[in-house]
Amino acid sequence: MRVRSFFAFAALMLTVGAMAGTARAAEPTETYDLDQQHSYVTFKVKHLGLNWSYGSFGHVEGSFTLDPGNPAASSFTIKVKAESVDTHVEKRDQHLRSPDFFNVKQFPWITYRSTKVAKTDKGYQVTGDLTLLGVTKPVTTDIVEVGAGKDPWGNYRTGLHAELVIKRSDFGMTWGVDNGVVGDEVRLTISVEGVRK
Amino acid sequence: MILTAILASLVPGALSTVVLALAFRAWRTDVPVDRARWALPVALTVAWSFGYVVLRGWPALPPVVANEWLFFLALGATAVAVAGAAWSAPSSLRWKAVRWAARWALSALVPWLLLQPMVAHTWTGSERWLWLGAVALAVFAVWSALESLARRVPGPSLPIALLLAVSGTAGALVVSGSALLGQLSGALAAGLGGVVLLTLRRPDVTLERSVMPVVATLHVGLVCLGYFYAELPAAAAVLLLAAPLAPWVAQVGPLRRLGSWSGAAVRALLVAAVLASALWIAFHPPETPPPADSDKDAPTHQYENDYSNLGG
Repeated sequence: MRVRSFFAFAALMLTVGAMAGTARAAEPTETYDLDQQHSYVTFKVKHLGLNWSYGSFGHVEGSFTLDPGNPAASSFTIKVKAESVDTHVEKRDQHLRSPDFFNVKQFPWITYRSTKVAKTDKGYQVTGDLTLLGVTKPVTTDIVEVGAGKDPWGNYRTGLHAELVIKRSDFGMTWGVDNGVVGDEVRLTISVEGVRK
Repeated sequence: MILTAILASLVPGALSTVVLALAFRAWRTDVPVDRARWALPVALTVAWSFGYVVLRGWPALPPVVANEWLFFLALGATAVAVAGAAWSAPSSLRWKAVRWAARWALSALVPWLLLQPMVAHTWTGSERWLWLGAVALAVFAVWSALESLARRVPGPSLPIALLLAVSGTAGALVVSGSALLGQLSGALAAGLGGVVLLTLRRPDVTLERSVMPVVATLHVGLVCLGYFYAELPAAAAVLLLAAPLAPWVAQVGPLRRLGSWSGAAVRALLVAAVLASALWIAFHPPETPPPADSDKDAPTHQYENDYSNLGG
């Protein structure tokens, strides 16, 4: 009798587990394309150590995949056109596009591709490869899911926000670091809206 | 900032001066020029390389950024220059052929290494070969013309003209959006300063079979970097390439008979005239149309954010 109860209990557990697994597998992976017009990459860096100078990139593209059943399988990719740097001063932007800084004709794109994703309370902790000036370094950041829902045109959107700090000298961008004219530390804010395919 | 400027300009000048003073034993004037001719390109490259490392750090191996290739090209040019200085058998046809082949090879290598990003991202088809060929021809022409001029113009006259040309190039590059390229040109000018001091002490020293491979490689290389990767206008780039060759005008007609200091002044004025035009153009670049709004060409998604549709 005890053996029979044990096997019945085991069968019940196996059934429940299988159902849970099936349910998990049933949650579809969601792939999003970035809405370029509602995706932003901005930065700030210290000028002469006195104050922050701000800038942004006008051309941002990319995609991300969210896997609710297996968040570690999620992925994030973002590409920024280096030439689109904009600090609202044309001469400064010209300097930023030159070999002194972004060297845009040699390195047209700045890219970030996730390599490891972990779910957190507010979103994800993502480790990925940031490639700038031909140099690739791992960078970890927390991505916060700001919101998700349908837009007036029937599409499903998810908004993500991340902030990270990098040292530009790690990527070979050293102009102005030694003399303190332009700070080494750059604080980036990435705020994107993805439209589900 | 001041310390960087000093390290990247005055120290290279001092290095060049010391190397040449030691090689030529500047406290004497009887050291045969040919015995120490190898020191001229070595001094120039040591000075410029020091300036490069101060400004940019040691280049990666293999190079990642285009201007890092210039560091290694300078070393290659120095090797060619030292070989040319050491083996002087101009009458031998075989040696002439070897020297010309080396000159062509290095001239072709300069654009091939510096302009790879343009080949990879910008140029297509025959465009890439036209540009690579044009730049290689520029290196070869500047090198050959300077080498020929060096045989005709002894003393400080030509080094002063070269110093002026490279200094003016530094200014034009800074104005064109790249302080780094301008400072690298400045380091080359500082190295040439040591050559000027040597030729003031030893007016019998000519620059033939010595510095021209290094000068041509670095000068043409830096102008190319400024044109293709910064915002140096095309007309300014052409004038800067021609600036070191302006002293050729003083080899024509009655100007050839000028005394050494009058000749030096005339050559310097000729270079200054070309530089003035180049700098004026660099300060007043032609109006370029704004870049195409790439977002306009981006594929519009079916979820176009046409807010006018809201509310009917």
